[in-house]
Amino acid sequence: MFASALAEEPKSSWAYFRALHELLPAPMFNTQAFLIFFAVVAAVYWLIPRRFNTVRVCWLVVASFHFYAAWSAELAFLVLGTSVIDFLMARKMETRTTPWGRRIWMLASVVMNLGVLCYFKYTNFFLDSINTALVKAGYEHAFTTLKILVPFGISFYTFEAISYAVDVYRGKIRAERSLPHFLLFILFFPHLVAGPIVRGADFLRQTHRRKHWNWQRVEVGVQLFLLGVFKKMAIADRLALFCDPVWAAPTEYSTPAVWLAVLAYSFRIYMDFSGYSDMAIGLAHLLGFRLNKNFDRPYLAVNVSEFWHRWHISLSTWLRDYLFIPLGGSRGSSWATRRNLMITMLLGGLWHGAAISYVVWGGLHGLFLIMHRQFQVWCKTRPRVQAVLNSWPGTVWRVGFTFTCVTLAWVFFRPDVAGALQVFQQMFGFVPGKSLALSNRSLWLTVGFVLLCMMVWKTKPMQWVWPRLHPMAMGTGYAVCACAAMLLAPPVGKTFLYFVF
Amino acid sequence: MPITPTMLELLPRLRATPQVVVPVVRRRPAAVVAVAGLVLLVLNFALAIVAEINPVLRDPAGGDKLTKLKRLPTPPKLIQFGSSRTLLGFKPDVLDEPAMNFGLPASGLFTSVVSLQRVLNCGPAPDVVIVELLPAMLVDGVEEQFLTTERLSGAELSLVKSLGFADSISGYKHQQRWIAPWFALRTQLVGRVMPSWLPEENRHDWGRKTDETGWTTPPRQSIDTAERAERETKVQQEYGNLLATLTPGERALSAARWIEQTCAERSIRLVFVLMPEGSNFRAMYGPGAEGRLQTWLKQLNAPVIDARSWLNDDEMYDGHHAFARGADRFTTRLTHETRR
Repeated sequence: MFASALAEEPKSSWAYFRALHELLPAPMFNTQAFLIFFAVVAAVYWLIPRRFNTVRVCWLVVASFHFYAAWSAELAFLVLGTSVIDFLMARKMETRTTPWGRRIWMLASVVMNLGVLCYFKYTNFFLDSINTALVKAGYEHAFTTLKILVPFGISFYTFEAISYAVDVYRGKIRAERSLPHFLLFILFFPHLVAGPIVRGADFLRQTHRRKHWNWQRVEVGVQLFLLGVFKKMAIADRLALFCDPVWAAPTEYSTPAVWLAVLAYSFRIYMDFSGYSDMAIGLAHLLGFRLNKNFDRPYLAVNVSEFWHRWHISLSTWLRDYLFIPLGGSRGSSWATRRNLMITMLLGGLWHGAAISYVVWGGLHGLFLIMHRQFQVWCKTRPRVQAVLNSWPGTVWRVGFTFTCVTLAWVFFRPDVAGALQVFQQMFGFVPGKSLALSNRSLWLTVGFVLLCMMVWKTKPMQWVWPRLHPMAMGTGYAVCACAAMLLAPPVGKTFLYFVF
Repeated sequence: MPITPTMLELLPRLRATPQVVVPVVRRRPAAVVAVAGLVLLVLNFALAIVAEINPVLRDPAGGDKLTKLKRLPTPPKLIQFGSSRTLLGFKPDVLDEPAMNFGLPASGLFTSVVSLQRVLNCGPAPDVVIVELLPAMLVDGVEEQFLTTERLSGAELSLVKSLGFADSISGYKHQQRWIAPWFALRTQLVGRVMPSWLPEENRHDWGRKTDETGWTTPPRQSIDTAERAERETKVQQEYGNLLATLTPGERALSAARWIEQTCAERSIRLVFVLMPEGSNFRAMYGPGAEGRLQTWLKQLNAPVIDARSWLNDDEMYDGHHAFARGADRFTTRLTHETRR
């Protein structure tokens, strides 16, 4: 009853930023503090006359910087600093006339961003791996791990900066002339923490466009924000009540309980991340910006390849454009294609987290993709098999099978590989143990509700009814959704899973 | 790097810039947003008002006890206020006069102040009031972690704050109950409608599980040695540090004085009681802790009954919560001592 624990938080050495931290303690969109922050930012933004677009942009840059600095001022300056250097390097790159001159500046920018990413995110992972290898070889620990605070969202904004440098190098876009506009591209607070990963070609154009207040856009923004809040608070955080205790001590739970926890984890990850993305896209709409869709009902995918077309779309397209294709894509032999797929997915796994388990997760997906390609080739000469698979029951089976594969892979989507193996042992060991702390019925109802929404949302009747609903019904629906999200939030809120990436 | 048609066929078929689905029919989006905002305000304000009026909504455990109190055929002559120790240990039905158990989990003197105030506001005053002193809750700042302020009405919060209750410790939950009551009262509401959706410790449904006199008991009436040891270890983790350096504070004293004064004004006989504790539990008091407790107790004007050694270890299941047989023996002796 009296036990309590305090989470470790970064403490700034500047009083101003410490005070800011008190006002905005966590970079979470679904908090009262953030809503007040956003209301102030949006109000000032729209009050600035439209003709002063650069002032509006500067205001958003200042707001975004403060959003980050409220968590850690030092790291906010780091992000700002690297962004300014990226901006200058791209300008330099464009002034060079020779290909090698352009390439040097592009490589400098990429190396700097990867260097920052590796230092903050992967140093301890590499040191730990070396230490483990040395111990196994009979030596003592050679390296002491460093006390490094990983800047949140580092994986996202470094990828944005890299794609910008590469796009300028390829001549797809011109180097941005205005520093505030470029800084907004990197620092824009709705996408700063956990994406969606934006591209310079798409976002920089928007920063230059003068924006009108548009009620339609506001409604879409409110709708997406509320949807995200509901996904996060009422579903993802609720599902955490089922999976977190099992993840903490898997060996204490029975086989059915662990299977249910894995199911809960699978839906939790989806709802957590897509909820965050929806909130980010909604907030951007409220400021007149459009961020790309990041999820498209991924658990209805009929194969793993399609899953990656629907899951974390901004990352999968980034990996395709800046890793898979430069590696050779699928132009070479089938072996080379398989190799490229595997490298892409392994690095994609490592991008998610500095731990072997994430690499295993990426490797599993690489394996699934390779197997799927082989199966597709095999099916091409067997039209009857194709017909069966494309039938209604075949499609249901494919969706179920894909979901099962993806869900089993999620077991490795955590920093502890030994724990993941324990979970597998419990899942397939048919062992007795504790059941879940909460009623299984509430889990099934939650999962069933999510599945129903996914299936119903894009049906024709729904698409017809939705835009024709009376404003009174629609507005009341939004308000009820907001109240339901608050009501169903569990006693203790959880941080976004993707913040650690 | 040229992209061949074959490559495109094999690559993920993604739209580079997927479009957000916008309504086909223009439906006055300003009206939608305005209605949403208005309905949200109305829903929140309505719940905030209802919760302010009705304690069952904001504090279901305490509210349930009040409801049960009102349902008693005869107004109770004796009421004991206190924590889960009282909830399990004081058994009114062994007495020959109407009595009520007003024990609420994790309660200290501030909770007793609030409960006493609610009882006095809703019916005739009892002849005798027994108030439990839970030593760990006498330390300044401890009860504030448990008596979260969304459970209190504005008047109740003002009362406890006037006695030194530091509402800042439990955060801004009272304000939150007015700004976003659907969030602030979520465990109370969900715990009432679908308790199985919440972890047991957050259900606020202890009040419903009691008998009509407010008493409840553990589901089992015996425990093996291994389980007892496990439970006592948990208790040690919860209370060990606090009891080792136990220093009862001024805030609890002001709450106790308010109870004394209120009872005196209403001519209610008041007795404070230290509830039974097992031998291992008593061993957790650190050097000097007992002395500091006794010094604090001497500042009270009402009599104090020290019942900590009244029950045997096997009459409690974790060193401080009684089984039914322990509750029988304790209640009989307590009322006997109180009358004396």
